[in-house]
Amino acid sequence: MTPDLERTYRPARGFSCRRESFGGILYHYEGLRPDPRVTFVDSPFLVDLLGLLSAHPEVTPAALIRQATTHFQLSGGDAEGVVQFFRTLIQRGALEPGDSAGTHSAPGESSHD
Amino acid sequence: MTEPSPIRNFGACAQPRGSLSPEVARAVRVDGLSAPITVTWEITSRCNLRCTHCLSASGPDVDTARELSLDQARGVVDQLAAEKVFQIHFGGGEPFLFPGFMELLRHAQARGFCCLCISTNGALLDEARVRELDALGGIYLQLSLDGATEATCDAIRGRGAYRKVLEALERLRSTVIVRTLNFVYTRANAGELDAMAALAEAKGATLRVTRLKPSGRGAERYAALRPTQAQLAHLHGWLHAHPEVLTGDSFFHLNAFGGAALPGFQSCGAARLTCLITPEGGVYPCAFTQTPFFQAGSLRERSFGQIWRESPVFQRVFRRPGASSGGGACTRCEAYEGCGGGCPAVKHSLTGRLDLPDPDCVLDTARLTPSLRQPLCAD
Repeated sequence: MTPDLERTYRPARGFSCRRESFGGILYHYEGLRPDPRVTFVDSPFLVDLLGLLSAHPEVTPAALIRQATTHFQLSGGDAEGVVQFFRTLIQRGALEPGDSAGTHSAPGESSHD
Repeated sequence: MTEPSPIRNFGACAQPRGSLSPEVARAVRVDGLSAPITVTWEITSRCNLRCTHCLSASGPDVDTARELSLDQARGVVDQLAAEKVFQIHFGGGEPFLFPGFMELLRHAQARGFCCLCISTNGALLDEARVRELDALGGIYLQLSLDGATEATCDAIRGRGAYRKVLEALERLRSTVIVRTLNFVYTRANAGELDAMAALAEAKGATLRVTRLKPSGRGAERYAALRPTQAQLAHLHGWLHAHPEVLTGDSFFHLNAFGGAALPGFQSCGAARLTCLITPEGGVYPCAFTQTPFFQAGSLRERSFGQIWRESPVFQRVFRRPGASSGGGACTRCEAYEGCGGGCPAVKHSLTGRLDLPDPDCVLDTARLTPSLRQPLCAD
């Protein structure tokens, strides 16, 4: 099932992210198998977006992606790359549903709801 | 001129298994990460066992006077958390003999460490301790078992060691504690791989196979216990047939046999993905390099972050090696890309140098060209 990006998410327990010069490292220990999932992300941009989402759990990924697309003038392909990034994290359980439906505006953006 | 896309690879590399992009590979192998992914911490040298191959020569009567206190250990945890190290792997010695170890685990959890890995011989895992660990959550136990039979295991680890581990596994059965059986592959137990895999499965554990290295008491027993060429060839095929078996970064030297790379991280992770802290606060590239040549620094003198980023040993030997270190003579061999020239710890322990061919090379070194048997010129 395709994850709903219009709702809020928060980092799962056991999931953390560290910025590196090349982008960042995602670490996810699910507690069900011995080894954690370690993922190298070759894009500082994606890691920064993930950091923003973690710092603003009231914001939905969809709102964040919309604002990033506008602000950075992302191409359709790049915007789709961001969508896939967040969908993958949700499907892997690294991001889990938050408490509310969330706001539809990203940090610094006024809400139109 | 088009702007470079900000969205590049989202490379999934569990443990890491997949191939890394050139930028990431360079950051990991050459520039160094901002901090390790995992830090192995031998929290004490004290142990209730005296295994014949112990990599740190631990035992019941070692001098622990200079080991870090619980307060100092808490301070180290704080430093690792501040550096955003993802995971701590406690070993020893027997970690549960460190005074205040459970308190240290709780402190690490409070600092955000969600997975605390503990290598243990299992002898101190009584009912109460298992319940306490289970309640803590996020615990991953590595139980050492060096044979599928009591006779094989106890010949290496001492009388009663096998039975203690099996008893601990029974106590762990009803818990959510993740556990592996850690099996050091030696000449003496090489025939028990299948039996070990079956035992691990029957006991609800994952099998983890690691390599015997000439470190600690393992150096004294290395000639007698190092696997034969035929045993290594068998292990190579067996690991290919059992991708579910964990190996850490133990067996990248077997890739010199050729064919597809083994599952797991197929390169030395020392000073790149991981490093070691000793009971006294010394920092080394890995658990098998605890010699003055490899010492990167002491936490009694410098911070962990300073040592990780600035240590000449980490920089010159592991990340930007010169001709007298790194792969040395092995770089001229066609198998080098697969095996990376073997394990630096093994090389240095057996030859005192890093530029000679890997003494544990799985190829028939007698058939290699004479130039491969010579060191490269020094830097």
